[in-house]
Amino acid sequence: MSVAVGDHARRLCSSLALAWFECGYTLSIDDCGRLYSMWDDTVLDRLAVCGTKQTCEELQSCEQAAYRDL
Amino acid sequence: MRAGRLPGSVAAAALAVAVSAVAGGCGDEGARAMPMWQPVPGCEAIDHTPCDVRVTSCQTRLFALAGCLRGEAPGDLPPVTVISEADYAAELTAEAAMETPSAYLATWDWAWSTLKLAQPGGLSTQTMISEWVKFVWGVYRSGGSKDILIIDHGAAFDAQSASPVLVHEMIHALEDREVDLDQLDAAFATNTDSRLAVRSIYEGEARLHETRYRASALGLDPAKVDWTRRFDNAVALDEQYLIKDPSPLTAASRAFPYEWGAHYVYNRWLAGAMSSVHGLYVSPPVTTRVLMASAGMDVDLDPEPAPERPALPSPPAGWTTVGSDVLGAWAVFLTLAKSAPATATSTLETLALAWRTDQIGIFEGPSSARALVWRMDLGDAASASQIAALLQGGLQVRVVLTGTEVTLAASGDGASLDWAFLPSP
Repeated sequence: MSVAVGDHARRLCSSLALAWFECGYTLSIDDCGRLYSMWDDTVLDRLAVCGTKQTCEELQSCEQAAYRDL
Repeated sequence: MRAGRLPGSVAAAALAVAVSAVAGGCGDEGARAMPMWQPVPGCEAIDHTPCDVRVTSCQTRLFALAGCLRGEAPGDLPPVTVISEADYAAELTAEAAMETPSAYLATWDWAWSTLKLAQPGGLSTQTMISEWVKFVWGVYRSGGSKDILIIDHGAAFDAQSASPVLVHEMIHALEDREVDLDQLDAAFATNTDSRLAVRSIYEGEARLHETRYRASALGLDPAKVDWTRRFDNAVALDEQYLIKDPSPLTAASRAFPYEWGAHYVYNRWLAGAMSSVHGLYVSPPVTTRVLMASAGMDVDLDPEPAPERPALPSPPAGWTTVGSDVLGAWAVFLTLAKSAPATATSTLETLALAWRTDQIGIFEGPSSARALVWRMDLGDAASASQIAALLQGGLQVRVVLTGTEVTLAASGDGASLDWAFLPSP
């Protein structure tokens, strides 16, 4: 199965992959794009705010919350 | 060295994707290839694209990059071999079989498990090897062969994961050519505390450059990275990982030198570029306290001479001192974290940073009796008092406080330990 990386996911990943990197993790822009392209805009909009969180705990919580109630 | 990790929630999302992608459909915005070209600052002329580390042209290119990261011409490429995890474990097991095991390993194992620094059996060669090979992704062998092994763990092994590992190991090859790492260890790494501290310089430097490279390899814009935040958070992440490990001090050898070391070396590199980093090899820190102060309190301590060890008590007739060591501030922190899990980590860090010196001795007596005495000086009486109380409450040991000195003792068979608390001769 392969998925094309959409613009929405690509925009999201430039900030989200950086946020994870600064929290001590490694997530490439490419992997991030492939991963998040599989989600629809509702989830991606929720995830978009995660990259701006001040702390890594907030980032983690934000990421988990994005998948709730789907 | 250990490799990078995917955040847990992202990994969970990846698993969820396998299910929901079918229902939600695949993206239909169309693929538009956008090259991610974010070269390593200062090394823009060298292609940083991850590559197949088995191929010589890839190795040559990444070695040039490693040299550039250190600001030097790389010289001859060291031999590089990709080896499976199972083959690497077999190699280590065969090497261990050739060595004479420590006569007092069982007593050390008992002592460390009494202090909650390792679980029983945690110091056995087989346990150490099996734990190590799970985590190690690359090795630079500084002995006779001076070569690099890249460990293939199977599914997770690809150009993206292996290239930063190879750069890390190549940094070690360059460090070794500059300072002779075996010589450095022989001169400065003489006990558990100084071994962790000295390794923190060469592993820290390698992790620093690996991380600088890794940002570009991941497609991130290095100019946008808050590097201080990255190195701070890598320490915080590994601190949590180590506290949870049932053998935190043996696990520390897989984490402390890398993240605490990278934090320390990064600050030096920031302040004075590579010339400051080179200086650390001339006079490396020999206590983990220096590394902890940098990472935990943002206090950039200069390396300081090894403190004089507090004397150990003389055991009674029929007993023999069979080993001694210096465990250091990091081990004090881990023992406190295991003894007082309800106390805030930051409080325990502050207490452990009061460490000035310590010495642990192990003793064997009649009928296989054994004992340990760990004597530490905390620099101030208030910290000593708090540490004594926390250790007394969390370990099966006797603790005596004398001013700034805490003495902790335990015996394997309930034998009297009064001798352990007598003033040093």
